[in-house]
Amino acid sequence: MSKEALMKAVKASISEVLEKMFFLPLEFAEEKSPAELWPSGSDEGLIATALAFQGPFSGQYCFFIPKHSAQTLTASFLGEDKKQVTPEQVAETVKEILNMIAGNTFGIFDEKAIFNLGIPQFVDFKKVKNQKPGEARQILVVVDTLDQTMAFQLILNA
Amino acid sequence: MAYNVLVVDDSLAMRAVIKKTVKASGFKVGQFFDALNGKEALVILRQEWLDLVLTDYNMPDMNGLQLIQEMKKDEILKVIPVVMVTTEASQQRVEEFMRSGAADYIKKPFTPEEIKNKLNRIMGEKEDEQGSTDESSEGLDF
Repeated sequence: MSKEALMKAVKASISEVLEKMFFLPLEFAEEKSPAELWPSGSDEGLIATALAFQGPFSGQYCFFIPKHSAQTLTASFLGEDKKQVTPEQVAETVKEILNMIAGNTFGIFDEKAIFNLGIPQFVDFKKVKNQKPGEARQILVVVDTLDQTMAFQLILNA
Repeated sequence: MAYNVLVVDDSLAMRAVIKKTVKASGFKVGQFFDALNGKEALVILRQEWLDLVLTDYNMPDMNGLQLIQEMKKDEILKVIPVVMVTTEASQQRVEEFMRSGAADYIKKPFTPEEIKNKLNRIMGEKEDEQGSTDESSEGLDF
């Protein structure tokens, strides 16, 4: 499996989902770990979500987004005012973003393969962010949209 | 004609977005019904008069594929078209959906145009089928 092909699929999926369903222009930023991007993590109101997947290769797909950015995305997704979105709507939207991007990534990467996706769950940011590049095969994509930064991390099982 | 539509998805946000997108597409909806998973959908399907089901695949308790399989065992429910609205778009999975009796599938992310085109086609075909059945019945009566 080529890391480059998987990275390309991750980026294509992110672009498709965020542009098509959230009407967000986006740019891919310099590759940085979540720990570098958000040194104090959940103290800054960061939301970390993860989804386990199994298929020709298995692992975990993670999504990191600051709470205020998640509120903006939720408002755009539901067509509501940012001030009116509830914490439950924000939580569900964040999970749905990860679910769509993960499913779409694998469809783009290999449309003939079957990947089984788990249900997205909120995770402890500290446990995920401490994953060092040498500890696992992983892909990290940092996305800048308007004034927001979010990140996706795909960690493959050994 | 306006159709009663059941939207099945474990995400409240996604159910809201599907309904919003279906409305925005111009597809004529009488009433929307919601279910969190296949089990809940079956209860609603047996209580209400539904014309169309839009269901996610990956849900706790009973997934979209299991919902279709249960509906196909029921003489009344088996004629209701079911459209999978899902991120699961591998060829094998789509073939599995269609073999199980799904009328079609819509890949997430979707646009109002994609939804409108698929739903109009499915409901148009269903009305054509009913029309031809009615015509043949009339012929027999005559």
